[in-house]
Amino acid sequence: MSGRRPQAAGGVVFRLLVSLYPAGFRDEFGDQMMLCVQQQMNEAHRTRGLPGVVMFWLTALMDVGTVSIKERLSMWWQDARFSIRTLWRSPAFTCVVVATLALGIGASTTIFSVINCILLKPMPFRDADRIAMVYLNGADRGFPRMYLSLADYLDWRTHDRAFSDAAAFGTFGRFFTWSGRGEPEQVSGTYATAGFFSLLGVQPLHGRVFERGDDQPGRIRTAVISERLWHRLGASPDILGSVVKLNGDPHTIIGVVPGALRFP
Amino acid sequence: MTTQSDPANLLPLPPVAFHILVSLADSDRHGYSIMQEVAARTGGDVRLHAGTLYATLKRLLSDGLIRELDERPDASSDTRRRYYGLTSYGRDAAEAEARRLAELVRQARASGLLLDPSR
Repeated sequence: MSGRRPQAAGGVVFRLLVSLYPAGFRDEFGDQMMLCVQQQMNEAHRTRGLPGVVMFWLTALMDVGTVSIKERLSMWWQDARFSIRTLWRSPAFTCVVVATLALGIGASTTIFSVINCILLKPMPFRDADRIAMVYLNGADRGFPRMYLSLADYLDWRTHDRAFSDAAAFGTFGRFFTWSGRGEPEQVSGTYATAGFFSLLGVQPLHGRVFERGDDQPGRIRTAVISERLWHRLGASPDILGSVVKLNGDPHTIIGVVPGALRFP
Repeated sequence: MTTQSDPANLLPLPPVAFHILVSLADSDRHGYSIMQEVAARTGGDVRLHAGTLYATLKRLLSDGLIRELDERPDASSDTRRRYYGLTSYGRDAAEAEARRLAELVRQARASGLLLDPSR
């Protein structure tokens, strides 16, 4: 009989779609739905033949598909409302649940943060686990972490026996007015002592980084730029040795470091 | 089942729900019979599919507008068939909806949007 294959295939697909309904709905109406569909399919075949059967299945399957999704969403919404009402009526239990969730989420987040920093996304520096940031303890003045002044750093550097090397840099988030090469603009950066890059193990892409003695009085001011800025300036090799002004002070560009460098 | 309030609070009824209530107004029916009656009454303009029909029947049962019959009017019919009938609350709701629609038609005629067929 023509149309039997589409009918059989449609029946299988229809059963699958009915399974998308919530269990309670399936139990109550599933058999009736299959019976209705069977009768409608027979009627469509009787009146319109195979094209009618195909058309019927297309519309019936679409109908069941969309309604099953709506029934699921409706059931989830009812469950959510019931849960909220239950929690609202039991405040003590709710507090315990919320506190437990908060502790668990907090502990998980903390553990992941540590793992993320140490294992998954460690700082891109040599021996990053041996690098420490040193602050002054000003807790008695309400500042548990205070930045060192340059004088403090030099004094501490002279007497320190705990660290194999040390360097200092200015607080980040500073902006310099750049001029003398390319269009004048604001660039972000900082000041650093001569041993800054060597302590972190940063190798330059071009030229060199700061060396011992570069930060001594009387020496010319030097600057190391990022690869990103170097590309913005045309990525020309003659950038090395050129003099630019940072906040009006002339600086000689001596090197280019990797653009993805993240400072501690 | 929700507490039965004034049927007017249910208005406007969804079109599919209203068609089902109208179908049950003169006779208790099973699902496929409701489909056939609605299609015949509307000249084929409204054809209910199983998904929409039974989702609406579920809501009408939940709202107390229809009830499932304990006894089958046709004992020889397929046992999977279940019959539904209108409750008095459902009849009141259907009447309220019909009056609402009739009022809309009257307003449409009064404004000239719809020609009065008697003229």
